[in-house]
Amino acid sequence: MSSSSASDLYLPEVWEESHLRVIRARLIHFKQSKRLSWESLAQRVLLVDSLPKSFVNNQSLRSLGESLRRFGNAEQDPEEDRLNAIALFLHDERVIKADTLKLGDTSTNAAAAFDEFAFGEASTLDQMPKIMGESFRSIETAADGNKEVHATISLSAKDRIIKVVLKEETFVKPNPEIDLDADERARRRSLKGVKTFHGWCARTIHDQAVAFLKNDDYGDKAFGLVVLKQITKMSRVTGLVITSEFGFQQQKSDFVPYHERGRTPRFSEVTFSVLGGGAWSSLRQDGNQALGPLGNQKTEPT
Amino acid sequence: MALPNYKGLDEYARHLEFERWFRENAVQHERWVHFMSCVRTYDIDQIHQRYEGLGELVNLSDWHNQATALHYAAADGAREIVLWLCQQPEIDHLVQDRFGRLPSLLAYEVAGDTAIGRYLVVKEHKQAQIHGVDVLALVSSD
Repeated sequence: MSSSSASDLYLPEVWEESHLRVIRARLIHFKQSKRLSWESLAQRVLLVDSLPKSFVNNQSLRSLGESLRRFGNAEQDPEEDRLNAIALFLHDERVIKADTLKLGDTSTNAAAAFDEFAFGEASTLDQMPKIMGESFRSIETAADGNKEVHATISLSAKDRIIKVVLKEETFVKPNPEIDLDADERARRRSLKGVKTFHGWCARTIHDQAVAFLKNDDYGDKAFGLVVLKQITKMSRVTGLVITSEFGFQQQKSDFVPYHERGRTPRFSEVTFSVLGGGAWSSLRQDGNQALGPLGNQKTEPT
Repeated sequence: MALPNYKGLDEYARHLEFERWFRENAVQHERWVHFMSCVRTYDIDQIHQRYEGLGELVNLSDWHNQATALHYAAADGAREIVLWLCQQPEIDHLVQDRFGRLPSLLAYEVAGDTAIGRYLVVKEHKQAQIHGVDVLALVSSD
């Protein structure tokens, strides 16, 4: 066992999914590299000098080995003590660096500060209260009926910021008549790939919000801007419209609440906003054609 | 036209090298661009029809983020594409992207697909063993 100091290792206060994935990947690499069984791996974890004695004494080799196996296969997450022990072990073996688990600032301070800087005051979540915690989905079907692209937007409030997750799943069905919502197995088998975008709404105004999104894999290239607009009817949100600047496979337009599956309303008119000259200006586009990049539209002020 | 936002001379040099290759191999480049678009849109049928025997082009990386087709497919959890790529005799599993990540790390960390991640880990370690490369050193260098 090497004697590198564990004191400089950053350990997250709350283990989030992203932290678990980082640790899992490296643990599997280590196991494969040394050709160890799960129990031998557990034994080596317990040999880390910097682990508290009370923790080591309370661990059974078999249960820790089983816990590692389940963690490696993404079946069950270990307790926090065990996760800390795994991280310390990997750091001790020089598989992770001191700051590997520092996955960027996950607080919303930057988003709030940007909002206040750009607009002079902190935005309020009251503007779009109806969509908080909801998921909206848009389904685009290719002409042959076999290929479907499901885009799902989930919005949640954190502090004073709206967090946005946009997931784009591509399915190719063997038969156009298969209902992917009804058949979970067919859904799993037809899934070809998933792109996930994370971001936050910089500003909400009336029923609209501007969201900055970043692709998870190669973010600096896929950073983009979308405008979300609530479609309400009888004070109930019946849809969401999105216009985007970055490369979706197909342009998304109409989102419906996730639970209302199979219903995709068409709107004859799409209103969106762009940021210009430090102020918001509302623009309108008639017709139902797909929207291209912002700024290239034939638009007229309302 | 906006100039690319280079992050250091290394990236600029990579772009110049890529541009040079692009000029000298215009046909190959066009083929590669279409292949990459098929990978990004998970069009496995087109790949089967047009790109069997793609050769070394399968390892060509984007100058911007140094990601190969395998990196993109792994990050998107595109299993069929990953399997096809891994069947190519010329495939290099140990290519690192700009951030030093191997394809298996992207499968685990971005796609959250442990099955594909594990598959790629095994492939990477096999190749490393043949060429005498320390995979752990590559993993810990990111």
